[in-house]
Amino acid sequence: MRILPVIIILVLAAFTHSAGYGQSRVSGFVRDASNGERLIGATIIYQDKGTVTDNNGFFSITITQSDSIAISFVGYSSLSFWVFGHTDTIVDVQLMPGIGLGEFEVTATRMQRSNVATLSIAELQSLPSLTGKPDVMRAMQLLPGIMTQSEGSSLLLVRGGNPGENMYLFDHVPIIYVNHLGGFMSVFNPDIINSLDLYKGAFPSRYGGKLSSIVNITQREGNNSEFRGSYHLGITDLSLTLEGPINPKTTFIFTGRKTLFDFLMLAASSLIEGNDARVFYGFHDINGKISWKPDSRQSFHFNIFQGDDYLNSRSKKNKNSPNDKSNLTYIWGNWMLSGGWKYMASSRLFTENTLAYTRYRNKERQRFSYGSEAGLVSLDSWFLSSVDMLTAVSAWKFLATDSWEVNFGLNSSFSSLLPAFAKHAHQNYPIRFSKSNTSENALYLENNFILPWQLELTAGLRGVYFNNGSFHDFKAEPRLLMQRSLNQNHRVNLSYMQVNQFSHLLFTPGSILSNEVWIPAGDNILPSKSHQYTLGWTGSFANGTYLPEVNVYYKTLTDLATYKEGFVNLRGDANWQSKIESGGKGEAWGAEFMLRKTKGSITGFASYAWSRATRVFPEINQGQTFRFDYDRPHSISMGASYAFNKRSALNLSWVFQTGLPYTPVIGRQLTPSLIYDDDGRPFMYETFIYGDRNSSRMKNYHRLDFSYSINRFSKSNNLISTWSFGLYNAYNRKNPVYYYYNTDASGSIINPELGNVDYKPFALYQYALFPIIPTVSYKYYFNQRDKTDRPSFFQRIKNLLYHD
Amino acid sequence: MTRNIFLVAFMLVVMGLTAYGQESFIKDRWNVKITGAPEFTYNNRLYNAFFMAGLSYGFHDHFEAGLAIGAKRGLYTNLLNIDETPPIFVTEYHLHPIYNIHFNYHLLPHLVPGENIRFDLYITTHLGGSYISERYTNTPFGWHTFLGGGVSYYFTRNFGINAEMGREMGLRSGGWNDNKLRLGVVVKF
Repeated sequence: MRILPVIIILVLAAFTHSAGYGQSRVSGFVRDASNGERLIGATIIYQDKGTVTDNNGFFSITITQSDSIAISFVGYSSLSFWVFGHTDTIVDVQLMPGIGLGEFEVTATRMQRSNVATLSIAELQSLPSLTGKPDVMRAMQLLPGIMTQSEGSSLLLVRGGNPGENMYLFDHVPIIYVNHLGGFMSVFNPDIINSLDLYKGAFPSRYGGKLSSIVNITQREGNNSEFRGSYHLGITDLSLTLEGPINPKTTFIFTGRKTLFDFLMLAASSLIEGNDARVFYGFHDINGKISWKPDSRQSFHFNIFQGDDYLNSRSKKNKNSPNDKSNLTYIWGNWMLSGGWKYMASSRLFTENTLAYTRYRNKERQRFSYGSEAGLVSLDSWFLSSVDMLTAVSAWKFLATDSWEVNFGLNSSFSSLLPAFAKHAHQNYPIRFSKSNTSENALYLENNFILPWQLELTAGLRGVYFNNGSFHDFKAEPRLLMQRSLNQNHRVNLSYMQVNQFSHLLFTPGSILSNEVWIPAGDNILPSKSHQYTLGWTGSFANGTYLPEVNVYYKTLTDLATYKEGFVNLRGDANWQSKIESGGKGEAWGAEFMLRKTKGSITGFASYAWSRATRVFPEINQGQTFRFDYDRPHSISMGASYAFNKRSALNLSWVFQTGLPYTPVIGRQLTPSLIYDDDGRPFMYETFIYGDRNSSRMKNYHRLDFSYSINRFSKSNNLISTWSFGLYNAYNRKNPVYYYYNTDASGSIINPELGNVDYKPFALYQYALFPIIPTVSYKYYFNQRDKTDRPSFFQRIKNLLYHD
Repeated sequence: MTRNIFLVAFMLVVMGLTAYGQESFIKDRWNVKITGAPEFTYNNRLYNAFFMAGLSYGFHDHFEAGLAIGAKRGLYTNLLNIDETPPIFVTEYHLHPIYNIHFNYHLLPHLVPGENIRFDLYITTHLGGSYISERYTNTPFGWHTFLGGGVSYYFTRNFGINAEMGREMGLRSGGWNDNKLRLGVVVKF
């Protein structure tokens, strides 16, 4: 706690320091004039200085004399206005969509931020996807340094980290479970996304709690001028979006998605003869957001999110044994409630405060009943794993001078983790595990200095105090980012960060069912920690048309936890800690290259990453270092979008990744079984002798996807509808999901103990998931037709009945 | 059944008389219909299918009459080897001609003045026939009646889609008696 006075003194010093300056500031928000949406990353130019709007669409820039300020954003007409140098000014700037309508074009060069990859919704939508609509997680997988787990998975594996080391923030509120269909899709509906930031290293001090990445997704706000909406029908789901003003100061936006195939599965399994059960699987998610802006200085936001996956199996009626019934229900997902307040106290001070509740749960219920001589026998059992989290965030930004920015704040979370709860109604006692109630409180202070010699220094410190029953821990996490501009277009950076993670994810790869269980750090399972060093260069050529980026990194990880060898879940044992292997260490290092083309009829990117990652656990692989389960040394991603005209565009992407490691069989032996033949001799069966863990590799992964989109516009240029046609895995590559040993490719295993079967040797087979798949989707936008041309409802009915 | 048919016919005549004098868009209208329908067996194999092209003319404010010809592809039992011992039953697909004369009674002129309406609603009756090769039947010329309703929707003033549904009854003793649905396109001028 000695750190607290230091932080307070530094904050006070920042305020005091700023009071001595006589410069004035222009601060405010930049929005879309048509719907009031915040424009994130808009460029503000004053004389020879510039800045960009942050995730709240907020900017602040120092002015020394009366002059004009120019504001621009891609796809919007630029705007300039006159400001007076002797007083602070707060503005609310609204840019009109369209190009060339402004007074003049601002030709600012887009400079990439060195520690964050940003994707706008427009960039997301230009990427082909299996479901016919963009998926944020799959889009991020195309960035260098981010690996995929397997075919069809949208899990992120960032710079040698595992899937549980990523923090997903939805408007700064953590979401715990981010997958639908076991990772096939993410829970983030693209219709409500404004933009997303991905930090792979050099986390801002505001963020922590996860070792490998921070994914901050900013939600849109509802349209403040008129009611709008859309529906989107793809091969997996139907999605609906509604938004509009409630009153002049309040807007809403609502999105919802629901799978359609569960109804088909239910109908098919009901109708098919010979099937004993009706089975259906599906998911849904809903997002809602209400924004209230009482004045130009402050706004309030209320968000709700709820998303679940579910698998149900219900037995059909059996006339021969009417008492036989079975009901299996699996539900997993999370929901979130949050409220936020953003306030611009002055042109130098901005604050953002959030209170949120998040719950993740993974639940199973199994009910069986059958008739016996003793009467009706019923078996009823439950399994539950859950995380409840209450989060409070207060983040402040103070613009002390033109060259000094201070970020400070508080981030507290109170969690209740239930790794495994099981109850069997026919038993007298449940296997019940007590909840772990933990708290994680962090204070942070970060200073961003613009120094002489084109040097920019961001130095931060985050102090975290963690408590889990009798276990207490305090960690100080220093963060440092140094950037030096070589000239207007090129910049090098050097960073160091330390992060701690106080909960561990036990992940079951390959399972489409509920496959994530969270356990807290404690006396025996310590918090994990990482140190990461990065060195990078970002550049800009041809007036911002080409944006290259190179990064090298080295990362160490300590006190990692995973399942012990042979375990894939925590069920059936009250002592779940006995299934956990802790004290693991890891190393990851690599180099990442990326080139973006941002202008012209063809836009796109190409990236290459060379990366290595290892792990060592005391009781796994005999304590020897082994390749990380998701170690892929080489990965290439390419994406291109060609706009034929305003109405149609062709998009393609190609990915290549070295095959995943697997543990090979290096020998076989005959092992006596417990079953004996007539002569009293045990049957012998064939067993494997495995080599070192992850010492072989599957074949390489590569895939080409196409999509072609056709837009329809109204006379006044409003987008009315979009058809999207695509080909996933265009050259039908059979990429391995996993390898397995078996006697034949059918998956049936010949058991020699059953006798009377011919010997068939085991061989290695691969399981591949998706062949070439054509996709189609349709999106229709409500209320986009021209009002002048649009007939009334009754006129449309009349048109339907009568000729003109 | 015969009594019901007469009852319906009587009502139609009464309705026609009450509407006498209203503006009609049926009289002097030529109408070309191309219709057809597949029929499926229990195992989803295509069993029967037919198409017809018909021409009708409105000779009254509510009535039109016309002719239609077409072809039907059906599954029939080949009789050539049926006298063998034991008998051999072979079913084969056979394409044969079909034809009919039809009368339509249009209802909307009673309800809607003017000819701008996109819909057309009518009661229809057919007297139809077919010729099936002697290889498959001992009575090559078969006759049937059809009583049902039809609806058309015109996307433009001349072109639309059409559906008719009703009951088809064979005129021979012990003949078939089936519900039928036929779909098609229609051109009026």
